[in-house]
Amino acid sequence: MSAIAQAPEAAGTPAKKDKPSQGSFRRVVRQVLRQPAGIFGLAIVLLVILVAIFAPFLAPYKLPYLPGQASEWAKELGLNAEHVPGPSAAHPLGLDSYGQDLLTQIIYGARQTIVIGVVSTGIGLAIGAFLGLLAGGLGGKIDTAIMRLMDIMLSIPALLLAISIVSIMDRSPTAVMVAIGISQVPIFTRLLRGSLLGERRRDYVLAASSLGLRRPAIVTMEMMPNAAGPLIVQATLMLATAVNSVAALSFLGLSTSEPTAAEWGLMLVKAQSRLGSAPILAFAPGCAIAITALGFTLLGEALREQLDPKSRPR
Amino acid sequence: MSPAPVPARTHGDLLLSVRDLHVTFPGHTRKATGTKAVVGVSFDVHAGEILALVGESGCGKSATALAVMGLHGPDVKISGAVEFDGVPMVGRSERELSRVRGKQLSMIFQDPLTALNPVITVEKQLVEVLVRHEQLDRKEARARSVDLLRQVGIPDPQKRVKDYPHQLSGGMRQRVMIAIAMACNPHLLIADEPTTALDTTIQAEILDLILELATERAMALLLITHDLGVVAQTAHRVAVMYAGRIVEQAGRYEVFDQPRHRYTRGLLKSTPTLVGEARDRLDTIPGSAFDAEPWDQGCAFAPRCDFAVPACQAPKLDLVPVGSGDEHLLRCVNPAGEEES
Repeated sequence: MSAIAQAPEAAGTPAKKDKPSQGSFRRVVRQVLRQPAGIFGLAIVLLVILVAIFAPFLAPYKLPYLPGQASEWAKELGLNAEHVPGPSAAHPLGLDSYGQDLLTQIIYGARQTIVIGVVSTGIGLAIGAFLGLLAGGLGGKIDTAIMRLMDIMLSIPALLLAISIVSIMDRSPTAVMVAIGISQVPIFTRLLRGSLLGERRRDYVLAASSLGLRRPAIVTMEMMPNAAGPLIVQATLMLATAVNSVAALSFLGLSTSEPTAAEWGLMLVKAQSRLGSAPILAFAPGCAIAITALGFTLLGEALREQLDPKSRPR
Repeated sequence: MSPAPVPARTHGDLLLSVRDLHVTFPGHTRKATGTKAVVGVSFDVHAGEILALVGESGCGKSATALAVMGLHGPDVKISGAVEFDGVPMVGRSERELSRVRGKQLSMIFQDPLTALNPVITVEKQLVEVLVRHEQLDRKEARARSVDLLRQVGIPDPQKRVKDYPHQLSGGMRQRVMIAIAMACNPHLLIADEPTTALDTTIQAEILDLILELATERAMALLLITHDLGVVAQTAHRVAVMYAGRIVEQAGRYEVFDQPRHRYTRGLLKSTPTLVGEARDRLDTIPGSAFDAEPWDQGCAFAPRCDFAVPACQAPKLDLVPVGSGDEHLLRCVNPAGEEES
């Protein structure tokens, strides 16, 4: 395995040094796949993404239900808070108290989770990277102003900050995405600023100035590609946090007012009152959240091993 | 200190003039005084000329070069006058400096591995400079970068241009650095230890390339080195630096055949030779250059000099012409005689 992985490298790079080639995406993927954690993480993430994309084909029943339809079923089947039928051949994970198929909800829930997770992390990454670029690239008063603002934001717990933002806006998936995104901003800002400061003293920056390149060009074109590695790693790790945050905000009833929506956090809330009689209602979405978060964390850690030279064993 | 007299040359226009340059790095622990890296350095470089700035590590060679380029950070104190093409460089705005750098005035660094950006292709690094200074569009700049790589002797330039620096060997990397530095045909190229980080076998190749390109384009060269072998092959004139000052400055032949300063003489004696009798051990200069600091009075080399006399502690010691012409400048009260060796 290792011989295969190293052969092209030995041919193409007569003078390879310890710096990982960040230009080679395929090399990074190959390195990630050499670690058990990386394989496992990537497998889980791909599985969740595929389930989200192909939800209509995978789910045994159709979503969304028509308004009121679920309650009709519940009446027909004689369902109530104390009695829900467990797993059966027709419903592998059973029904919830609205008469909806649990597996179908879990499968469709992957969509919500992935979309909200990716979009919110994307918002956090975009704003955070922009502010980090300003702070680390320009320095001076702008740097001080941005970093003090970030300190203020970091002094509020991320979830509390997200809850406040959702409360200010309205209860909607959009508000959740914005809220989680903004609560992630300081982490990305500090990270990028830090690695830009580290790049500043490197020789290639001096060489670029000696060629008459202007400061903004040096920061964006020369330093940014060198400083972006840790950002990618952090974004993958933040996806795990975002998945948890989405669930937490839904659990607190902040994501949507539709009680039958297929969302893992919301399913946990509904399962709360039936924990004694039907624990599977809480167990299934709980597992889905945990496994998805685990997948992103494992993948992020495996990426960090490859992209962040500081964490690599020498 | 009064500016030292530097004679005008006839075979080229004055390109770079440095007068009484002082560079002081901020002190880390000491509050008031910083480290004086360069103390009153003056020299000229004329069009098409090759001036070698020679000295051991820490003598202020690179600090001088960075001051000429205006590349020192804002916390480094610089005084004196640096004029390039008749325009003062010290105190010039960053915007104006950036127009000159890379276009009329360029620099090659010691280690091409760290001076090239590791995550950007060779092509992009060349294109950036060409677009900035030559007003080319990206397509023209890409074509030009292949030409430039060919000119610095890189085989298969169409393919190599897409490479990242780590994919190239040390010698190739330095060739790329040279291509980038010479992309806009600068009038003056500063080469700061251009061969030090390279294998001995390719040092000569790279040096020849720099000389060839400089001659071809009538480019002046300020060659910074501690390697006297490099100086002997290349320079028209040599300035020997010690502890932040120029102690002797003369034509190449005078420096090698009739060095007058005791330090220059010591440097030459501590260089191995292939001709003449084999010696068991090389001569060394006792002590270390760092003993000289702080140096406000007299000769910094006096503590290490076998020929030191009380007059070496004189409060003021200038670089003055010696001998018949005014080409040979010396800062020494008890110089070696012309016949002595």
